[in-house]
Amino acid sequence: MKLKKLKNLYNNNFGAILSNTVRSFVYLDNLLKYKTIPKLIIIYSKKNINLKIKELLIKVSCDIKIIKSDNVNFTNIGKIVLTSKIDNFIFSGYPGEIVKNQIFLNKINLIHSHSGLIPKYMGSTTIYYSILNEKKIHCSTFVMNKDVDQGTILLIKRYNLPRKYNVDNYDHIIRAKNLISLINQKNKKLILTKNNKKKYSFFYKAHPVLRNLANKKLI
Amino acid sequence: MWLKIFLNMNYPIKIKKAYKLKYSFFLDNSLTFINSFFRSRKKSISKINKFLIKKNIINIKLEDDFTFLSLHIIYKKILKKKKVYPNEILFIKKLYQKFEIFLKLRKKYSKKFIKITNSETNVRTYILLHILVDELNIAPLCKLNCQLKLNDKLYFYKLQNLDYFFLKLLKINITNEIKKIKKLI
Repeated sequence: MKLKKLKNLYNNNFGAILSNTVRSFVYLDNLLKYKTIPKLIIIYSKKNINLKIKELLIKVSCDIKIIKSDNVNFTNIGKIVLTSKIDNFIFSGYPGEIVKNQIFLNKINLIHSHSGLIPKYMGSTTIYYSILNEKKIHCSTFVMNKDVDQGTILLIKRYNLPRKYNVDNYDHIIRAKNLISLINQKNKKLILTKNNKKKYSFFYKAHPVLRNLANKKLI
Repeated sequence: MWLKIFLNMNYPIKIKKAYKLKYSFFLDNSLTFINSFFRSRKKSISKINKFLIKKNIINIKLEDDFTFLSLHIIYKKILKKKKVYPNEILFIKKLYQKFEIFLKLRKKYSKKFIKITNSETNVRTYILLHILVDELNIAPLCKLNCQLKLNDKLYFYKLQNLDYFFLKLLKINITNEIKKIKKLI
């Protein structure tokens, strides 16, 4: 039922739940660049919001809520989401954060971009593994469910290998680009995925040596 | 001379910092980093070789714990080419997952794999896990990633506390790891 509400995304009828991270900064920067402005931005952080993010927030003409918490499952975030009556939220959380709040899982579409071909590359830092394995970069955008990196896939795109950026920065950029392409796409195709936990390996944080080798492959 | 020492120290110092941050927010794309990785690993091998020559390490005994003993039983089975049961493979997989998340293993876990004690298992568990990870049905890069992290653990322990058998295993582990990394280059 809630997936039907994805149609509203095209008219910029969406919100953003963002952490106080570089990735969120890149998301905001790209959203502004492509004039895809959300209706509501929720930023959650215990620390002071990064100055670069603050500068961008001034330029955005929408409702902004700042929550003093480092946990997306914090009840106040859920309450704000419910009262906003926005059905679709893009999400950029802290590394390793797991969404457990039932509001996000059942009542709204929490849309997440993952820099890897899902379900083949599930987990953390999959961009490095994908470069090392097949010298290809993909980005998948999907509606989150209770399982990590699984859910209804909305858009998968292949991207060129980075020339200017290092892999870490490129990771943020392709995620943002994929989200924006999805929002601006009129007809959304939904790909329902089965539970792939047993079929595919789950990738954990890549070791610095592997990251170094992945960057070398690009030269 | 001092420059040589510095270059040798480079990798362990950097990796200890990365370990504290659970390998997050660490990126070094320089050639010197990868070179210092190889140098450091080779230095560990020569250190092990020195210990292996000494006779007095044969009788060294470390305290056994539940996690180590369970892994040791599975390892012995594999050595004797006996059948390894699915629940034993699952045990290895759970330890692999725990290690990848927390970067340390505890002395004992419950049946639901919740830690019973806070004290860390001994270094030999990591050496055995390095070998047993190869038995898992996971992507080769996942195995290598875990094995790199397991071998990094040796920088936190004194190698002279290991007995002859485990020093030999550790040497094989490091040699295999270097081979796998060289294949990727």
